[in-house]
Amino acid sequence: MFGTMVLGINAKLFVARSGAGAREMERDCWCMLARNPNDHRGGGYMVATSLSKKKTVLVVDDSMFNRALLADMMADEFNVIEAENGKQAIAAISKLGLGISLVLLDYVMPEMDGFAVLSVMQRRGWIKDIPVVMVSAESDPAYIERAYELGVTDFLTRPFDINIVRHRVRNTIMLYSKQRVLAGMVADEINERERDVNLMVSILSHIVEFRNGESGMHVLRVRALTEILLTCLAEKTDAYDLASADISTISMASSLHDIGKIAIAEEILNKPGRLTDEEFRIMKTHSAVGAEMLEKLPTGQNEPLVKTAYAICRWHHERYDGRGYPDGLVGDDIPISAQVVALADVYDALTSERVYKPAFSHEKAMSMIIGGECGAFNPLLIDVLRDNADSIHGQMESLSSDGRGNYGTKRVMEALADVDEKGTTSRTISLLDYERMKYNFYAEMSNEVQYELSQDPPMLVMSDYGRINLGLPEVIPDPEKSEALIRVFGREGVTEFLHRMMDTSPDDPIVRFDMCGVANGETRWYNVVSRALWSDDDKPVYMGALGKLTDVHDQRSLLMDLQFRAWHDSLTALANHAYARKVATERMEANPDCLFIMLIVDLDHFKEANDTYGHEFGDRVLRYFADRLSASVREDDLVARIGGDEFLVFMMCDQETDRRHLARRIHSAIRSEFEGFPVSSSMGVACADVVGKDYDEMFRCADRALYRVKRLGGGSCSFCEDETGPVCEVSSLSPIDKPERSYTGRERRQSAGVAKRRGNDKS
Amino acid sequence: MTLESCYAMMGGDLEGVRGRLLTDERVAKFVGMFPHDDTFANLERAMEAHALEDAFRAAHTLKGVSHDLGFMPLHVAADELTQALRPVKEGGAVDEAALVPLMEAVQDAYRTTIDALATVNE
Repeated sequence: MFGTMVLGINAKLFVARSGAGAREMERDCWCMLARNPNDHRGGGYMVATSLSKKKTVLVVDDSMFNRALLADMMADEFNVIEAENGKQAIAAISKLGLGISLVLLDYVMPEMDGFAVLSVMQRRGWIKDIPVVMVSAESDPAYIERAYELGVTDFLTRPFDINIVRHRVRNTIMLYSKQRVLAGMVADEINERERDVNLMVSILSHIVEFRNGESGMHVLRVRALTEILLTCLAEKTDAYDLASADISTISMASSLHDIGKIAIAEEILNKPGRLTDEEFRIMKTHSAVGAEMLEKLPTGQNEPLVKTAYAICRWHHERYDGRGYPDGLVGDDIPISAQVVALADVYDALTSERVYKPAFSHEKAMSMIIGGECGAFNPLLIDVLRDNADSIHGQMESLSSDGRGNYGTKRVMEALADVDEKGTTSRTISLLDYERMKYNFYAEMSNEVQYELSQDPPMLVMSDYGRINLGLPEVIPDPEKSEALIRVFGREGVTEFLHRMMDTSPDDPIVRFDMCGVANGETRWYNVVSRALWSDDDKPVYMGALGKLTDVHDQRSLLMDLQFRAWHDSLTALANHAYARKVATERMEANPDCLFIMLIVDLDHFKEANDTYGHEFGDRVLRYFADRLSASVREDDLVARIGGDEFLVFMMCDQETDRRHLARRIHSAIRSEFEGFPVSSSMGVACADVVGKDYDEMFRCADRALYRVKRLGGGSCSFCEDETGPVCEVSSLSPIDKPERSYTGRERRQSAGVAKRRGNDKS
Repeated sequence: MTLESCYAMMGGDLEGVRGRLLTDERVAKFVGMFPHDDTFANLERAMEAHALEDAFRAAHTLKGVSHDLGFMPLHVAADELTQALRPVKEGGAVDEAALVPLMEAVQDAYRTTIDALATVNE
């Protein structure tokens, strides 16, 4: 059912891609192509020939004629989608997965040939589920041999015979569906068996434990520890030839180590005090008794589980030095299964509370075992225990806290519940289909571009929204060199995009960044979130990435707008004082060799304009003046409105600039008339080379010069060094000799600094 | 002119094609597509540019297509050219001088085929 839904969506995608109406498509796509094959060139890369619920066949051939011929032959019975080369084929399979029932693959193709497609299909495990029939005029046995080796199911040889094509495709699809169902059934059967066996072992061992008055945790803990120890042992040495199947059998069988206790009288088994010698002798028989019970099983004695359980039951009280019971085996004569279970049994006994002793800590138990206080063990096992002490401690702790004593029972219940559930294999397949459907749906619904990037072959596959919105093809082979991609993101943008993902590590594979792109002739901002894919190898290999591209332009514009408002005057749209200060300071720091000039400009008689003609007129005068002032300076010069009728200009010049000429030119350029109101201004000027490269100091000096102009009636321009005051004196010819007058501390430091700088300039 | 006389004119195998494609309608449809197919043009371009790998691919495609449509003389000529070009695929050397007559044979056969097809379309 899910598969059908996926197909429905995909069919829709393909229609959108071809740019033709759905009705026309349904009628007979190939008739249209046949009439005018040239229309097809450069168009979408795949075309659906029908929208019905037929099985889908992917035809991969670089020759349009061949694709048309095969599609025509199959159109009655199958959905046919097409790929012109290997890369498109891989893209289609990555996208549709099991939505494709069969691939008809040509061998001779540009870009990526049929063998390369087969290799990728094999590497990604697709060849197991999607049958491939090779179509080729090749009859060379070497090619045929190689194709079969790469997993091809069958061949179709030229010339194509319509009946043979149809039957071969139909039969192959049927064979694979049957095989898929069978494989699922077998897997479910095996899983079910394994669950049953586990369940039986669990029930059996718990009967023994409950009789024993124990919580039920002992068996579970011994089993868990046995598994840990064996896994570590197998990593450390191959002396015992432990495959993972052996480890799981031994672990399962370990649950049965004490079944012999079922034959021990309850009075002895649950006696609170110390056992007498006779009682202890009886107690010791449980290992041989357990083994005997297994030996006398009417069936199944040759099962690996039973054989292993026999060894564990009989010999889990043997000692490595030969002083154990019942047989006094020495060293590796004791099967490794029994040795490991013995160690696990002792560790658990030490760390658990018993009627005759409290629970010891992990550390205490470890030191007792390693110190030989609790028996003699294989030195290799002691090493394994010691080397993995921390991880054993952690895992055993978490088992105790998870379990809280009824873990076993809970698991039995869960196992019982599981048995009735739907088969796992078919469930997994439908989940995968479901996920694929979800993915396709969200990709269409969300205004995001989702993409998959693969490294080998280098290829970028984008969701449909990406194609429509960015004007990009859905599949982009070799993205680093793709003209289309470069057109949208720029060469550097593309390179950065690809390298950001390659530069991740398997531990930290996620990257987020913003990038600019041109969509429909408009530059917009996109946010990229991507997860790089690394292989599981010892030395991880970068394989590609998954990710999405979200259009964040409007958000970003809003942010930039807010920022603009914060830094600008709403009436004139000029910078405000805070922003002017920030920018001017930054420019001075960034350009140590340049000359800086600050003008403070005050509009003369502005109060009269307001009082006579009203505030609305006053505002227009201000806007007019702001424009006039901006137009009188260079684009890079900073113009700000710093108060009601006060403006500031900050300019960067080179050393040769004639500052007085510049200031006067600006002053006269802004003199004009606005709707009968004479626009004139007063101007105070400060230069950084005179007063120092300090914004506040320049401002104070320029403001003082302005004040002087204003006092004298306004309408002119004055430099701060023209002033008959301290700054003026400092900045005239002989700065050092001038008398100190009403200096503030700051002014004094400043003038000294200026004098020093000027002195340096001279030297 | 009929399909029969057209195939007779080029020395094609009409009965074989009919057997494989089942209906005359389908045969006519694909026969009609053949003159618009750009494989032959690609082959000529590749041969002129000495792009032998492209030439191999085009010859190979032409060989297959002509076989499907039963254009036997063209199929045979394209097959011979394909075989001569095959070493390119395996990284071997090709005697380019030997290709000239083979290509000429393909060109001749193609022309004969197209001429014959033109009579059907009229």
